[in-house]
Amino acid sequence: MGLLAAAYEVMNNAGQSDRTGSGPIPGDVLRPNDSGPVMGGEMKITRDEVEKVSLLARLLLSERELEAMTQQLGRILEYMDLLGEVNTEGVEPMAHAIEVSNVFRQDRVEPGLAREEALANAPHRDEECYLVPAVLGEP
Amino acid sequence: MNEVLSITEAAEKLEAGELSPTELLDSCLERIRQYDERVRAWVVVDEEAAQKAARQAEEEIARGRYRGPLHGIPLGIKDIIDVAGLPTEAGSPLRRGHVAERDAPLVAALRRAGAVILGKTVTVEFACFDPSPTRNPWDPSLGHSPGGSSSGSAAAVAMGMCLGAIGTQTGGSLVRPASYCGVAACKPTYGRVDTEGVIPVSWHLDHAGPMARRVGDLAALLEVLPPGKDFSPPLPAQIPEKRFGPSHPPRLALVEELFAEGTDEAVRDATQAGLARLLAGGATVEPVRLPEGFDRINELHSQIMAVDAAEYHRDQFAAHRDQYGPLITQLLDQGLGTRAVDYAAALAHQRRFRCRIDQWFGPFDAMLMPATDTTAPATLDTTGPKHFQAPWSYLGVPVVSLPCAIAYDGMPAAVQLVQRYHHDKLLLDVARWCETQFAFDRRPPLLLE
Repeated sequence: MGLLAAAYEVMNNAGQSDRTGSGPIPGDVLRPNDSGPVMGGEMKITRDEVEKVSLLARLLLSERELEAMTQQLGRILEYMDLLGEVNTEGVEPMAHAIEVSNVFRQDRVEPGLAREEALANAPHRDEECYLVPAVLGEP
Repeated sequence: MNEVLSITEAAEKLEAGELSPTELLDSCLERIRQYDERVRAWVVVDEEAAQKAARQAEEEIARGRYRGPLHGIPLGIKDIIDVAGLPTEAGSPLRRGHVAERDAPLVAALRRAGAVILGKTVTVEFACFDPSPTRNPWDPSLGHSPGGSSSGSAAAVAMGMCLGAIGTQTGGSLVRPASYCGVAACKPTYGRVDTEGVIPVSWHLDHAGPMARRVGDLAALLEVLPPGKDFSPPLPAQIPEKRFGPSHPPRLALVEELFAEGTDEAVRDATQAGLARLLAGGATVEPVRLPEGFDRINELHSQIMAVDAAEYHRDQFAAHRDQYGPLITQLLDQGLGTRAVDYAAALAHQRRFRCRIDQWFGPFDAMLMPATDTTAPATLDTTGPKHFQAPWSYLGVPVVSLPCAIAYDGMPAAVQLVQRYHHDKLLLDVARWCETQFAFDRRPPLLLE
């Protein structure tokens, strides 16, 4: 894909997808930051640490986003401290909080839906297929 | 004062009396003391003269005699440009202790505008290719190239050791170091800035121009820089009516062949992110093809540069060959060995191209492309290749480069904008619009220490 086409794609995706997509994504001009300032004591993580982690994760954060991420990650880490307050003396290490076991069914062939039944409620069809609007360009 | 101000921001505060020139100078001197041992951007800092100039600016402003946006602004001057009373050593042992008697006209003009000349910034040897001791402050381990040849100017501006600097470009010596170091640069129209009092590399290719953190700063600097003696300003009829303006985002042309197609992935990704912002801001971007014969320019540029440099260094090179670095030695040997007829052919090609390049710009407000093929190389053995910048030095058309994003290797990436001759001001306006869309306001990690 040419650079210009790729740039259009980045621009078009910026408003829709989550920002954990691949490659650098433009920051606050395209994606207004919605998290306000958070009051609190000393942060659990510094802005420099967040900047470093964002570079390692190949995420391009704007100044405002860096600020917001520092606040949000700080709050998450503060929450983790809450868990540390629970007395776990005499409790065995565990992978789950409750007892669980897998549920299996018999591996047996059973009749499925007939093609006509599966297509019965389709708004549009093309013989044996569903007909849907074009996703990429003109049909 | 820890905040690194742009010239425009500082000028507002200085004029309003919220900041004094001596406070501003002290903040620069403090950063030089704190970081220059590691960054090595300065050859000499004339603290005493700078303090005297800052005090004078302070008195003038207090008396209501404000001279304009450079009044009280500390600047660095590349060490191939004469500053009266300071050495012009050009990064060469052959120039050691060579003190300039008078200011280059461009330095005198900056002083008249009230600027505080802080000292001389490091250049690579005779502004050619052998790397200088300057380090790139964007790499915490200081192992990346700052680019060249105006390496000290770029690093000093990036670190807030001065608010702007004057550099020169024969191939890519303004745009490349500025891009590697995350600051903006302007290589103006050929002849637009006087190069008297500047040690030449090539009479046919040399340009002097400003570097700063913001495009508005470049405009303020260019405004006061004087034109060369033989510079003929354009006839009014040659300047078309300006289309681009605040209510009309620019129409840009993206140069893909040789440029956008010739980058590594880091620069490609960053350029793509920058382009997306320009599109989101309402710019029209269309791909364009390069004019025929453009692909020969880099080779011919090298030929002209080599012969012109050899002409200037001829006697000194013959007498002191052992005191020249390996890369400039190679350049001068190439120049001395070039046949006259090949040199003439290169000059003829340059002249023909200069005559017909105007039409290539068509209806566009600027031609856009990445400023470098990679981000700053992770080595101190090279200042990077010149092939992305040299064509515009060869053609003499104005260029503005500005950082657009941090690439995923953590180093800044930049785009360059090019326009037809004499349209420096329009180009700066377009670049300022792009700067607003990029919203690039990152600082080198070293400054966070």
